[in-house]
Amino acid sequence: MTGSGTRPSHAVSITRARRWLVHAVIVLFVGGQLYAIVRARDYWPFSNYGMFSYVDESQTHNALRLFRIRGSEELPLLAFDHLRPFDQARITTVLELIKDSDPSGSKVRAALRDIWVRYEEGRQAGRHRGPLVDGVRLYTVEWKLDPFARNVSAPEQRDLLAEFRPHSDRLSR
Amino acid sequence: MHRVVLAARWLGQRWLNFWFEPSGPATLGFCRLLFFGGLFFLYLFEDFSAWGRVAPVFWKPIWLVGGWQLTVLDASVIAGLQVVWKTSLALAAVGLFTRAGMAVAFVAGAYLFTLSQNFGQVYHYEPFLILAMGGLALSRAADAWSLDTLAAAYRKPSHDGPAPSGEYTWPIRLVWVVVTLVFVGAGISKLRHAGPTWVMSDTMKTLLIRAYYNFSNTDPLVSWGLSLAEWPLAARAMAAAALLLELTFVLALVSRRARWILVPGAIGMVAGIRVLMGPTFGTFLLVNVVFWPPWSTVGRRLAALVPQKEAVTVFFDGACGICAGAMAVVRRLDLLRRVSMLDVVRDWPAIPTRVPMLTREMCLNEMHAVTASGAVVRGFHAYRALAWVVPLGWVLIPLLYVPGVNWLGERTYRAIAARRHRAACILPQGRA
Repeated sequence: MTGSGTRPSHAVSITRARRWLVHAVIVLFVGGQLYAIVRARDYWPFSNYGMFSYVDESQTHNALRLFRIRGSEELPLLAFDHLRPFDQARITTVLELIKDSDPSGSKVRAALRDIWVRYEEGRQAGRHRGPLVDGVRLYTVEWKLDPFARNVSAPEQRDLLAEFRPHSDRLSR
Repeated sequence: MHRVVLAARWLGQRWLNFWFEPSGPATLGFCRLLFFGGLFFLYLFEDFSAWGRVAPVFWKPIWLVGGWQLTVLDASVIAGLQVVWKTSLALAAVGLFTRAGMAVAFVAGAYLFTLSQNFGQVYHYEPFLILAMGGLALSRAADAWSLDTLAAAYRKPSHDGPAPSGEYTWPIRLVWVVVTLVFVGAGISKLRHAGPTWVMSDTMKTLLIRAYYNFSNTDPLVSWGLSLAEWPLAARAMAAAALLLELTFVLALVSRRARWILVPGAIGMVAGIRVLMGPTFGTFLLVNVVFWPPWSTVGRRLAALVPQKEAVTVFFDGACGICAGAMAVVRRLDLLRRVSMLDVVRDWPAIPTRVPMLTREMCLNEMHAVTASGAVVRGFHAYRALAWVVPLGWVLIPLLYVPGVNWLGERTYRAIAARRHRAACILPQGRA
């Protein structure tokens, strides 16, 4: 489909107006990107791509973690199929923002309720094979970084932040 | 003062050369096919409509969305929009209604990619895709490797492909610059926030370990990162290589030699990040793999590896618009130059000397072809012989030998041939 077997015949000229348009696009795209870099901020869709830019030698890892409650058992809630459309990183970040913006905790509880509802809808629709669960818990968790990450499922510290159960939802703080 | 003017002119000329250096349409067209085709397959099973069902408590609009007071659309509307987007990606890839397809892909894609950024975390996997789609939407990327081009060749068989132009250069260079600024931006960010300490400290070691604590959107594919972290010097060397690559990537814009090192290096780095640390930069791989290689040169070199022997000679009625159009399409598809064509009306004296058994009347009644083995085939069988030597025809070969297709093909060919003899065949303008 390239026309490689043909001889070029008709010229494709660039008009003055067209050249201005192309330059406007170049200036917008390149300028936007440079502005984001200079300001060291994200201006979607422009970005300074500042991920992993800071010195990080901390020997601990702190994060929010979701768990599914099943009887007396707690199962991590990390899989994309369980959290859809969130992934494990985005759900943690957004829960952090919700927690920080709402000292009363009601928004965190609303968020946990929504997470549980979407988990259940996904389960009933056959989108994942997770078990039926009684509720969802949110913990703040701290690990001491292990060189072989052997303690991923056994963090050094775990504090319950909030819990949602469909029939007796309550907030623990 | 005179020197300043001269320098400004020189710079201006370099600037114009960079963006508008004439090039053929093939590389841009092939990039379009790969880019939109790649996006189609990458996002085929992605369901954006799920964002429409998320509770409002999660809604954290970014500046662009908050500033315009935009809200998330209903899930059913998003579902419809994503069907439109995926269809437009497919159309833009195969090059059918290409300009419209690329424009819709850009607008719908910009909305869908922006949507998920309003739920707490902005990811860097997709912004450059929006910019690339925007650039292509304004480009003439449909002028090669597209069904639109084939349709145009059929309608106007006497028109050959477009001449080299700057129109086929600037869209690719725009993507180059956008990609370069991603790397350079990441490098500058590290220098600004950490300086050389980013390399000299145990930052890379820590990041490699932290990745196994479900830190990114997905987990690492293998545990080699932990083994690497055991060797602080190796981790620091990795950090130094990454930073050096990011900061020097700008050389890829101006130096072909640097491109040979930096682009594969960047692809390796992005693949390494996915394998060892988790973040899914598949889109970044796609853009790098698609837009940097000089596809026309690659194609020429690959074609040179194929023995340049004539495989099929076709005798067609050049006074017939349908036949001339079909041959113009075959000429465009003949990437390996294995087909030669003789116009029965114009080149008749040469034909009986090559194939004495053919009469002019036979050739005007049906298209004939001589295969590499010397066999003379006609009608549907001539087209089937072409399918063996034209690369795009290879995908059709199994279908052409399905029982019944032979019968159907012969009847269809005869029906079209009979129709053209009832004066349905009009010679296109510019041919007479």
